[in-house]
Parts: sequence; structure tokens; C-alpha cells
Amino acid sequence: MIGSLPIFTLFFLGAILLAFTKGKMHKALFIAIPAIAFVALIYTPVNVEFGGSFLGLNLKFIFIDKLSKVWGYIFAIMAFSSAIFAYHNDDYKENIYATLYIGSSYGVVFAGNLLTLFIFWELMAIFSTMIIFARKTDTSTKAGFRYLLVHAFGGQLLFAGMILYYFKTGSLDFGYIGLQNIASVLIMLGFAVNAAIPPFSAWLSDSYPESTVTGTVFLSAYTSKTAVYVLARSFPGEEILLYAGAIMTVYGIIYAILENDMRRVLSYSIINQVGFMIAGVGIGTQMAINGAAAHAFAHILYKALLMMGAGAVLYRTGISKTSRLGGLYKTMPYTLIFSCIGAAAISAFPLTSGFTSKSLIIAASLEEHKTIVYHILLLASAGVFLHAGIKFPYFVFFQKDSGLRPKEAPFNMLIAMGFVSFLCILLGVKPELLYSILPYEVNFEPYTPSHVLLQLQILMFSAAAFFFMLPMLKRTETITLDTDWFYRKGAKLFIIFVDKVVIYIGSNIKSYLFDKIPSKASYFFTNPAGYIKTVYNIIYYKVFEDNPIKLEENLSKLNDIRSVKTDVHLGNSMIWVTVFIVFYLLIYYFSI
Amino acid sequence: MKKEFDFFDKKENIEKLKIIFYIVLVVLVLLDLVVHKHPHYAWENFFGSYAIYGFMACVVIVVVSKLLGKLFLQRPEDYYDR
Repeated sequence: MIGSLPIFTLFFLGAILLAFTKGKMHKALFIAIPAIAFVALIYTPVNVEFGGSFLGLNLKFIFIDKLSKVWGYIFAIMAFSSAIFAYHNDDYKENIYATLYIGSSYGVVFAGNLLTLFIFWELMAIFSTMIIFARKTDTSTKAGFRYLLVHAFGGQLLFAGMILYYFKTGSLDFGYIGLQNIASVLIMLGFAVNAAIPPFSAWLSDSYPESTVTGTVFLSAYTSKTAVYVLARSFPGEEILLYAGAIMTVYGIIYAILENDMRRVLSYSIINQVGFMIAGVGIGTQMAINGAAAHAFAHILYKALLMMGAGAVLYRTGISKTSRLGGLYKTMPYTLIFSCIGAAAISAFPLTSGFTSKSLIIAASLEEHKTIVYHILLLASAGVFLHAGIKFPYFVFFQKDSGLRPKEAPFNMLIAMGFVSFLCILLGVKPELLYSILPYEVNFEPYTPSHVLLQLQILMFSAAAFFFMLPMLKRTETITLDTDWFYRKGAKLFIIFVDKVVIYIGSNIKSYLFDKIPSKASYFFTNPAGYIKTVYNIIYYKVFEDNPIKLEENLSKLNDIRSVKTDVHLGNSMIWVTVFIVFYLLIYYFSI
Repeated sequence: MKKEFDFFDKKENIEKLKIIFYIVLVVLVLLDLVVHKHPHYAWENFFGSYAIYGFMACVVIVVVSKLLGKLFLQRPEDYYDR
């Protein structure tokens, strides 16, 4: 907070400045904004709230406590290092959208009420879509639209839930909600879309790998992690999240193993890692919430590091399919080293940040005697090393020589990767640094001999299994179907259905309603008596006298109905009128 | 021209790395005898239990995901463009 300005305004004002600057000035500013935000955040007091009246509602605008501050810190660090990574980028628009995206995520994290949260939630969806569009390819545009539609859907669930919640409780304060009625179910579903909980997860692996080299680094950090934050704030201890998280950890691994595109592999490992956090939120004890927060913090760093490594390879080679990469260790040694540090951290090797944060969640699951979840998390820990820890570095940098001899990554990318690598190791060696900013007090010692041995045995034997099954892990030039199948193929089927069935029925209705029926009616009304007489004749000559010549004659009369003369006399009309009046009188008489 | 760094392309180097790797594995399992464990479930008491768990977990994960891939999930790369 600078004065009484909330942090997100820094980014929004900064984005305006970015729009008016160019060249070095622009780039320096891009890096400076998160640095200023970080310093401002350090001096932001906790447990203060700012309220006010808006549209007749009494709203808590901003609420900052230790839980939201964890996300605040890491978002600034992440923005700072990604900005360095993107220093070479001359797409100013992408930088502006990234800044707005980060600003919006601050708006979500420090939102004191659901209305503000919702507004920034939607802004995040819009600005992140813009980052995906920045790749400017056909596939990225399509993926971007799919991404936007999914998030719009999630946003509407959230909005509907929010409105119902307001009518049920009379308050829009954002705090503990808890799963109890349809309103809270809708809110949770809205959050689940952003947290990439299956079946709402396909947007992540569909769109992130289509973004630019720099865009993916930004994207990987904010959307799913703000979702973890809002779940940790409003639904801690919900059993369903415990199992959703456990499923996510395994789901992410299975898909990552089948994938060929390196950034898609890393995207699926986001789902896997967010699964650990969601499981932590589902356990809901102080230790587990600490674990979820710490793991989000650590994850943002090492996932960004891995995305940076993959991005550097993509930037230099233009290839992201692992089946066409290999042997890059010869010319990209620094990228290799930094990627290996990221891989070690995501696999939770001792002395890296993943070890000190993930063990909090696993220990919490033990403490609460969640037997099944503990075993799934342990299994997933082994699996992470298998897919993100070995598969990514091994297939990209070693394996067969692909003949590619790309240059080492640009200097700014190396600086960014080096900085994040340093942080990953720092948090592994000195976990107190991270533990001290966690929402609750931590009494946990990650480095016990038994725990280190457990982790090392699991990881090294995963590695053994990897090399043992190397033939089975051969990269195949395939894509993997995910739940986006339902809306990618479903949309096509829907269009075909609309095209063939709905349009057919509609055009028929149209032609009857506006063409055939009116034209028949106009025939009739131009000469009702002649029409009746001709139709009578047609039926008479067809059915009773079987006279084809007379029938033809009358049929041709239909086309020129005006000229048909009939002897309608006034007397005939009078008889009919009398009959009807008598009829009405009878009805009137009996109805009284 | 500077000679290319090709340490990992040589067979003998890979052999050496393999031996180091195996030694590490054996040492890790043997450490089970020395380190005092804090087991929470019965299976964790067995000698080298975590090593077996890690290895078997990976085998199961790979086999299951490959099966799923072959049966349902994997499609040619132009699947969505057709």
C-alpha cells in the first residue's frame, strides 16, 4: 500500500505508463513495476480492511492478512523475474497485457468482497486471453477463444453463486464460505474452473502451450494459483477438495507421460502440482493451509523456471515437440543446468524449495490420518520426478542427438533463470524464510534423516524405473484427448446439428408461416365465395363424378381465382348471418 | 573450431554414470539399516520399503497411462484439424 493506494493500482497505472513509453524506458519500467510493488507490499500492514458504500451496498473493499500476503509476495517476485525473462521481447502490447493481468490477480487476492473479486476475476480472464492471442498464430487464436469461453463459463457460475449468496446471507464479504447450499456450490465450481480441477482442466493444457515463449511464463503463475488462494480462503477443509486434489495429482502425471509437446508436459504438471495444493486446502488444518500456501509459493518459482527453460529452447529452435528435440546439452549448457534445478525442485529433491513445501502438505495428511490421500500423494511424488523431473530434461537435452545446434539462451533469459534457480535453492536450504511468512505458525522440521531418506529412495528409484522403462516412454507423434474433446468436437457436432436440423425445421416453419399460409389465405380472401366454390368443384369432380376434364378446368381456375364468378346473392349472405346470430343467441342463452 | 562438448554421447561415460547410479541406489537402500524411520503404516517398516514403493509406483503409472493412451486418449496430431 502506498499511501492508501491498493497494490493493483500500481500495475494499472504502470500499464498506462507502459503504453506511452518505448524501447529501454518501456522495458525498465516493465521490470520496475513489480519491484516497486514488492517493496510496497512489505510495508503493507496486515489485518486491515477498507470499507465503503458502493451502489447502496456496504462493502469491504480490501482485506489483507498473512494468507493473502503470501500470494502477494510471490506474484511480485514472479512478475519481476518474468519481466527480465521477457526483456528481449519487443511486443509492447504483450507487456502491457501481462502487467494488467498481474494487476488483476492482485485485485483478486486482496479483494475484501465477492463483487470486487468477481470484477478482477473476469479482468484476469480477459487479459490472459490477450496474452495467448499475442502469439498471433491461427492455433493460438483458436485456443485463446476456447480459453475465453471456458473462463466466461466459470465466471458466470461464480456470478450466479455470488448473487444467490448475497440473497441468502445479505452480505458480500469474502471470507470463509463453506460448502452448504447451492450458492456455495456454484461459487466453488467457479473457482474450480480456474483451479483446473478436472473435468474443468483442459483449458490449461490447451492454451498455455500455444502462447508465446514469454507469455506462457506469465500465464503459468497467476490464474490457477489465485484459484488456490480463493479456495484456501473460502473452502478450507472441504472433503471434496481433498479427493479432487488427489485425483488431480495423478491425472496430471498420466497426461504428462502421454504428451509429446514439452510445454504441454509442463502444463499438465501444473495440474499435478496444483493437485497437491488443493489436497492441502481439502485437509484444511493450519499445517495443511500453510503447506498449500508454501507450495503455491515454491511452485510458482520452479514452474516458471521450467517454463523459462522450455521457452528458451523454443525461442532458439522453434520446436516444442520432444520427438524432434534432443542432444541440446552441447550448446545450451546453462539452460540445461537451470532446467535441472527446476526439475529437482518440482520433484521435491532435498535442498530445493519443492521439498520444504510439499512435505508440509504430506505431513498434514499423515497428521489427519487421511490414509488414501497420503498414499496417492506419495505415489504422485514418485510420478512427478518421472514426468517433469526426468522426462523434460532428458528428452530435450539428452537422448538422441537431433542434429540441432542452437545458440545458448539470450543473456536476459539466463539472468532470469539464474535468479529463479537461486530462489528455488535458497528456499530449499533456508526454509525458515518461507515458513516465516506463512499464515500460521510453523513447527515443522523438514530435514529429518528419515524424511530425507524416504524422499531420496522414492526419487532415485523412480529414476531407476524411468530408465528401466525407457522403451515404453518413447515419444510418439500424437496428441492426447482431454475433456476439451467435448467442446471442440461437441461444438462441431452442434454446428452440424444447427446446420442440418435446426435450419431445416426453421426454414420450413418460415416458409409455411410467411409464404405458403399467407399466399393460400390471400387466395382465399380475394374471392372467398369463388374459392369455396372451386374447391367444392374440385372435390366433387375428383371424388363423386370422376371427371378429369372438369377437374383440370377447376384446378386451373385456382390459379386465377379472382376471375371466378359466383352467384353470391345478398339473400344467401342474409341466411348465413341469421344462422350465426341464432347460434350466438343459443350460446348466450345457455351460458347464462 | 572448438571441439564440441559431447561427454554424454560416449558409451564409456554412460557406463560409468550407470555404475555410479547403481551404487547410489544400493547405498540408499542400505541406509535403511542405519536411519531410524518414523513409520505411520505397517508397510513402511519393511526394509527398503520406500524404494520399492517409488519403483512400483512409477511402473504402475507408466503402464496404466500407456494403456489409457493406447485405448482411448492418443490420436494423430491432425485430429482436431480434420
